[in-house]
Amino acid sequence: MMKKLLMCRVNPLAVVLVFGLMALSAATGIRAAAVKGQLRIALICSGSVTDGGWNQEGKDAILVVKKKLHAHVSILEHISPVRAVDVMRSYAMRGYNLIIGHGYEFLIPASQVAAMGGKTKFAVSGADTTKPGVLTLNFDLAQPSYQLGILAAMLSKTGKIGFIGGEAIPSVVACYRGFAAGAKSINPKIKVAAAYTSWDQPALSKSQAQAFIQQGIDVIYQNVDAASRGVFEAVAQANKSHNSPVYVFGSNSDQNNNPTCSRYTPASAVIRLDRAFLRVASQVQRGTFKAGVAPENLRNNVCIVVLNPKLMGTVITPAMQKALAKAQRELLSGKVHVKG
Amino acid sequence: MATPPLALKLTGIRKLFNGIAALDNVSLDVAAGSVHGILGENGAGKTTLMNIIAGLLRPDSGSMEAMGTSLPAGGVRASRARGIGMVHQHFKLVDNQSGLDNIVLAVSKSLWSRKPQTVLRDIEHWCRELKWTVDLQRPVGELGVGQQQRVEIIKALCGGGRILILDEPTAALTPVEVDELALAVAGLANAGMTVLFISHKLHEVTRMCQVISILRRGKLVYSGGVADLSVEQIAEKMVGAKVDAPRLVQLQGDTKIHALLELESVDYRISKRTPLILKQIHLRVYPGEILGIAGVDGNGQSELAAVISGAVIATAGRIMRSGTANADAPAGSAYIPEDRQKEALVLPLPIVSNLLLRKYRQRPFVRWGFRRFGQWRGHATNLVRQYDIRCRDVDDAVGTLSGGNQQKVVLARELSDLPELILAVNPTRGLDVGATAFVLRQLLDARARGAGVILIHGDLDELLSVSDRVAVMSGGKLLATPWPHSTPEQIGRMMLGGA
Amino acid sequence: MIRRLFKRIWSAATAVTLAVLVCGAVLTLAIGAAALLGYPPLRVADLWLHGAAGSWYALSSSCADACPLLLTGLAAGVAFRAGVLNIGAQGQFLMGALVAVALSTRMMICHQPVLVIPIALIGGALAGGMWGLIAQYLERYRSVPVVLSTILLNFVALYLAEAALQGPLQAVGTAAAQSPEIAGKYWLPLFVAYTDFHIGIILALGLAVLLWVLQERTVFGFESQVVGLNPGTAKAMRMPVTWRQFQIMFISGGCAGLGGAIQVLGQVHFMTAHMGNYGYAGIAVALLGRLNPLGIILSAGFFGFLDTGAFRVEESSLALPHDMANVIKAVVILVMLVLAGISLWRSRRVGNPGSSAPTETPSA
Repeated sequence: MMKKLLMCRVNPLAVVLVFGLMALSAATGIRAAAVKGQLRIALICSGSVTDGGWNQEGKDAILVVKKKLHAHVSILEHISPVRAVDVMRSYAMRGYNLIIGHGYEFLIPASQVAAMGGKTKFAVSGADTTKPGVLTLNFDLAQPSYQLGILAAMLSKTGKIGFIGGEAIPSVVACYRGFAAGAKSINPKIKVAAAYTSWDQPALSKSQAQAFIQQGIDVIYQNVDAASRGVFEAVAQANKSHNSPVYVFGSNSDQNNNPTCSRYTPASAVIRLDRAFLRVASQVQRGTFKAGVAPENLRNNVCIVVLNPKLMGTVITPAMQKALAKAQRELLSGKVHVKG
Repeated sequence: MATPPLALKLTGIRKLFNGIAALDNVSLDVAAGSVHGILGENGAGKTTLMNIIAGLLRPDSGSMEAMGTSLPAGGVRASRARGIGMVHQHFKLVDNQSGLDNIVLAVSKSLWSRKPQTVLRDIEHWCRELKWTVDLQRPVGELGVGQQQRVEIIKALCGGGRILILDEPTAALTPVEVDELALAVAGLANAGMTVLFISHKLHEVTRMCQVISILRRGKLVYSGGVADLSVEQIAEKMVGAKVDAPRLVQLQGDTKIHALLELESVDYRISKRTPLILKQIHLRVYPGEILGIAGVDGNGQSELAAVISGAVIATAGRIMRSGTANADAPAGSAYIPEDRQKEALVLPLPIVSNLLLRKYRQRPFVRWGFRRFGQWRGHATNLVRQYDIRCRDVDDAVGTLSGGNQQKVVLARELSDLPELILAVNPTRGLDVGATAFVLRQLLDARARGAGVILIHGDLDELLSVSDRVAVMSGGKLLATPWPHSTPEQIGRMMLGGA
Repeated sequence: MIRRLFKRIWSAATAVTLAVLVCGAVLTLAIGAAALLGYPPLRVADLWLHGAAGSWYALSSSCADACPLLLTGLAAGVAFRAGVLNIGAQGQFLMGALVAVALSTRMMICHQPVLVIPIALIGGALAGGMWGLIAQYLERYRSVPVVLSTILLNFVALYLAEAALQGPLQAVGTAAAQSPEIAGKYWLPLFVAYTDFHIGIILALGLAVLLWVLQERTVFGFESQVVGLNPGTAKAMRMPVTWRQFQIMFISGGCAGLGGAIQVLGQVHFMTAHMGNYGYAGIAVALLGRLNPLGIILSAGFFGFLDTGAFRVEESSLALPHDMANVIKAVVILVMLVLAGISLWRSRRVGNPGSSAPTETPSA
């Protein structure tokens, strides 16, 4: 009897089972009730949160917020912008207070869902324009890049330095411009090369770094996210065979203690995502959240230069530290203006 | 006189497929040391019965005994242990392995107990016994069919086979190889083996077997000495009715008024760089005649059929149909291709659809582009009845039918509209006695009502029995013969390129 | 007659059954797999079901996700049935989306929604169809197998879309390869407010029924089936084999293109080059639906149900990792294919005594 039921073409048992379970699940509706008054935040990433780059930093930053504000946090990875509409709306409908789209590609979806109304606030990190109802965090690495340029010019023995970016998009080109301007402020004759490779192909960025080193470049500033491993490998190899050292700067996160060549990484231009996220989350909590473009830069302590403490005093001379501090003062006072 | 011991005793074997009895209460005794022929039309249940004996199928009821002890149903190992070895019609050999490896593989009880040495001794023993030479070193795929069969038979013998089942062993053999096989079978019987010989070719069975059993639609209709029946009686028992070999009847009156089809100096080549396949073909077909075209396969028959059917276009020459130059086959002509499964039928589709492949676009089978299933089914049901297509339901896939019934589907579709011109290529290939007679009779009927038939056929006996005129294809040329004022031997010589 | 009708419904229901059967398997597996990895199994199953079908909104979300799958599934199904191995639904989908976005953002012919929406939809369908025809042309006149050219054209479409979205179609003020947002008045209207039930879903369902009628009831469908199952016989029967293949390819590509257009006009309202793997998933959808448009409706619905439920479990407080959700989805689909295989094998074994001829030949 049982066998016959199972082998029957239209299985009445299965129909009953499935629809029964559906009905049951709809009827019970046991939802995990949120702690009353708890801040609920969702972070949406386009890639994997274990990518060792942008997305992982986003996850780490939001976990800091979770700890400091005792917030409930939900992280969703591998979400394409087109899928994000559905996902963001689902969060909004479930009463999340803040939804952060981690990357400029989430601007349109966020604004679409924001336009549907509701109390949920929307933030998008890493864009420089905004749309109604969305707060964009405009990370400006140009100023720290300017400082790195100064450091590079003082470190370079050959008078040649280089920049490798993942893609020639405005925010990355701004890094190059800041870097070049900083270097030229120390040594007007210095040569600054630039190349754009890829965000996720270490092999490509490695061969680019090797080419730079062959040309005599001895300080490389890279902004290639997850592909930075390739640059570090190239620099580590070069320092094994070269007499004069080759240095590399990190970006976005603190890459000074990278496992490959931390002895040759004197500084990184860092985006303190945690500070930015924490500020936005607090604004939402206090009710002072406002849509628009939030410039995230040296001034509000989000985009800064972090020096490698292990190289302090050896590679990084007091003169260099003094020059960096001076540049910071000039940048903050508006005496020196760097624009992306 | 003591009855000889029985090698096999089957009692009341019944096997249903989907409610249809493939075997119905079959009881059969096979004496040890005999060559026992199993006869029957396609689909009569021969192979099913053998599969049951070999343990490949489990009967629904009935019991079996082998060598005096009961044989459990549905166990290949049990059957093999009792010495039952089967040589399938389609060989079960590993093509890229040598004959020796194939045999060792089959004989070994497990992966770890291979003993090529002892097996080789067995093989040599049997080769001596049967006076065979077999190339055991070359990959089986490189051997001819006859050699492959020997490997199969030795494989069965080395596996301890005492009761050998040969399923349609002569189907793929040349006449010389058939003779050699007959000698071997006789040798096996002398050595005390029991051979079950399955065939639907009467003259082979009568030559090789002492005892025959005849199956008809799943029932055993005769079991006894072969000498007790005439060939005609055997055929009658197989088919269930008297089989008249179709014969030509001279038609009255002069019908050669206008040719239905005329080929003038037709050449054909595949491309400019390849040699001519058809050379200067002249051909005329008149109403009310069968033009037989004989020839050894591969002398251009397929290409000639393709040119006539319009599948390819002649390189040079002129084709006139009913007096007008027209390379396309008109609506009133029928084509029974050599490979019905590739060119005439769609096996997965139902019988209805296959019967309507020519007419599905015509009224009343279509309205506003929609298929009218009622009309389709009505038409198909009529044809099924008219042409005696044996099927459960017209909605069954044509692929489920036997070869003969598939050919009947083709004939029903092509001939039911009374076409003026019929082109048939090897229409009886692979069919049994009954179906062959049916096909040839259909062609003769068409001729009798005034149709012109071109019959391109590899079987010379059948061809000569129904043709008014005979031409021979040889090396791409079509040669006229003085038939019926010549002997079959003369035509045979022409086929081989002699004068 | 009634009996035959019943039989037809019965056999159409075969595909349904499988879908339904596997819904049960989803639960079991979600429960089993999740339990193995330490997630509370009943919660996973509950969240999954509830997220995919627990409310009108959830249901609409599943349906909206199933809609592009239905269309790409139809694209694959229609083509495979006629022996046209179109695995380029992905590219055709993208081209459809691209043209629809272009026609509703930058290349506006007029500004009345009543006109813009149909123009964009038809434009998308035509674009997909034409994109498919390229492959068919290559096969017919340049001897490039359709399987190959459609795959390659997928990449051409992808990079073409990327180029367009970083060039003429790029939204103002973003560095992302994204089109501008389609203005709200050109979105496909909803037929249930505050859900995802947009009229594109009805359109897709209608198209599926239409294609079923075309395949099963018309001479055109009959011919294309014969062409697909046995081109030799089709040629011998003087069927217009090449012409049918071109038509089928156009219909197939058109379905996929319409899928892209509906997705951008009805669901996401803007476009990137990465619209999701609807084209490739469509092949699985079609095979699961046994190439029968009605079966494809069910299997697309099932895939949509599975997908949406997975997202809801991921974003729930359980935070099931994305990869884990994918594993569960994959296992479920695998089980389903095995079940389908078993039922096919059964029907063959019962269908023909002694003969090995298949009663149904999957063309792929």
